[in-house]
Amino acid sequence: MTGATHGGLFFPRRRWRVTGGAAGERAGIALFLALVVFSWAGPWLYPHDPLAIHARHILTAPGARFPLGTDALGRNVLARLMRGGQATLAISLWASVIGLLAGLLYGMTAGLGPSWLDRALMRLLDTLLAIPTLVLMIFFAAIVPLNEANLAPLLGLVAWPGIARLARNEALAARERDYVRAARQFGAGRFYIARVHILRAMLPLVIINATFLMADMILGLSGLSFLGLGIQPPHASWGGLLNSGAGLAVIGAWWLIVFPGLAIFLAILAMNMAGQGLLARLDGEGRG
Amino acid sequence: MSAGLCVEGLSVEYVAKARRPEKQGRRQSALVDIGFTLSEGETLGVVGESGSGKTTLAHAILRMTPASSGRVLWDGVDLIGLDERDLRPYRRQMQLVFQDPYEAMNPRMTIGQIVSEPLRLAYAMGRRARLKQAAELLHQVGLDGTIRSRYPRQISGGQRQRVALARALATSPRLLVLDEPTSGLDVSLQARILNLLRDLQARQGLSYLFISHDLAAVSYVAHRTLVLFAGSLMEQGPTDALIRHPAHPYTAALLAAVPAYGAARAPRAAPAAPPRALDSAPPACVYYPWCDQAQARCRSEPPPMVSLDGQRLVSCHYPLSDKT
Repeated sequence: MTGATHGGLFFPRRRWRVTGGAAGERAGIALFLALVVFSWAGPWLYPHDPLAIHARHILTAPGARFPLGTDALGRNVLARLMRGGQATLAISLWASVIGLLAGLLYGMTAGLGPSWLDRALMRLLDTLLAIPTLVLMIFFAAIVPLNEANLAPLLGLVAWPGIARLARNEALAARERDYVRAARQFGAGRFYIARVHILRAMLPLVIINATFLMADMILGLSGLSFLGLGIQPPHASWGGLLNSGAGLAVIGAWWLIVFPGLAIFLAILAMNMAGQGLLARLDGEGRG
Repeated sequence: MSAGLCVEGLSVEYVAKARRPEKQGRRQSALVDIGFTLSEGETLGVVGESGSGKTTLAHAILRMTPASSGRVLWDGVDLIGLDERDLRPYRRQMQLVFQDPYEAMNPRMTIGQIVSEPLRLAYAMGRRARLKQAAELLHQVGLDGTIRSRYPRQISGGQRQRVALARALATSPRLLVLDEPTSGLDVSLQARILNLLRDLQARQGLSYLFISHDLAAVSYVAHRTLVLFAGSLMEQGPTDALIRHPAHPYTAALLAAVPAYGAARAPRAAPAAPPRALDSAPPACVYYPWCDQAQARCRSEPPPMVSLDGQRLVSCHYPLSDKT
């Protein structure tokens, strides 16, 4: 089985099998690490201010002085891409962690609690899922200031239902297992069983889903920034770069959308490859 | 009250949860009025076909399935009435060896962790002491200590059964409920497990409730035997006498279904009973529709449990005599 139960943040989830097995997993992780190195070690090796305006060099094509060109204000695209990578990846990561923890807590409470609680929590979840994510995000974006500290919980807020449902189903399946009943027979309490047996049973699947979730978060944050609801200018993010470059690409400034687009694409590809590989490994292991 | 286990009038019912009102609340009985005693150091066999309530009996005694009525007395204390906290000290004294040892082990835990889990839960023992004790327990069931770092899927079926046994022994129980301990094993392994069980009993004075559909295995280990059919007790008595001279027609049919005991006759399939709906059950012997000795009375009157010679109890209007 494939364990992904959540839809995409903005789009129905479509996933292409990139490669199977450990090769894909390793390539995905390597690619992701490369992007991390690019974003964090990059500014150190290429120390240029992403906010500095070079008024004489507006919309320069990639060349010797500006490897990836400049934007409409004459800012260095490579420097902005690096700084934008930091913002995009860090916020996506935190959003995934928040979504993961919230989802696990909610799902395990529903799956291990009494059945009336399960029914109540699941109906609540259905209600939340019925509200379009984007509408929810726009609503919250309107009432809280959009900065790096707020965006992660905001994205995490819409990310947890998928994980919650997955955790609930896994917990429900695991709690009737004979090894759980055996532990109960030895005097194990509810929390011991949840922690030692149920969490252990579902952790691999949850981790794999977290990689897909991370991909969703990158896409979601980029989408939000593209709509102008993400990281606010002049600060850079990949989605924001795409947004500001979109209007200028039609007059020939292709470098303004190609490079941020490529970065987003590679990051999502990396996470999906890593997730696919891990999933294939888990299925091969014969879980259960 | 005597030491050991005494079960009186134990019944288990499942209430059907149906959407349609006419089906709602319909009760299905899984066990009806079961009574027996099991004294210290004794083995009681429980035989019956699949679905006859053997596993339900085990789970009801260990309070894993709620009983609808009856008493389970352990050293004179009724376990059915205890709440979960008061039950805890008793849980240690009676352990279950699950039907499928593989299912009963967390696939992501090592054998060492699996065997030492009860020690951690029951005695809050430290990690090092636990692992040492686990090696000792494994040694007791004839396994090498090096198996501790393996995972359940990496060991053989016979080893798994031994690990399950070692884990059950961890809390030094006085009663082991063995649910089909030999069903998944080949014949030579079955014999080894049965011998191991007998050794452990001789050394530690354990009582066994030995559940099996394998009459040969039961006759080898059980001092006394219960025969269950459709959740009801058909017959109980010393294993030898029961096998040599079955008093209940169902026991006779069960024995006839085993090639070794059926002598020259071809093995005959023992009847399988569907679960009974309590509300619609006619007042009759549960076995009567399949019984070749049935008479008019069997259809109108449930047979009482009668004593044959002080040791044997049979639930039949017309028990088979010793001569037939």
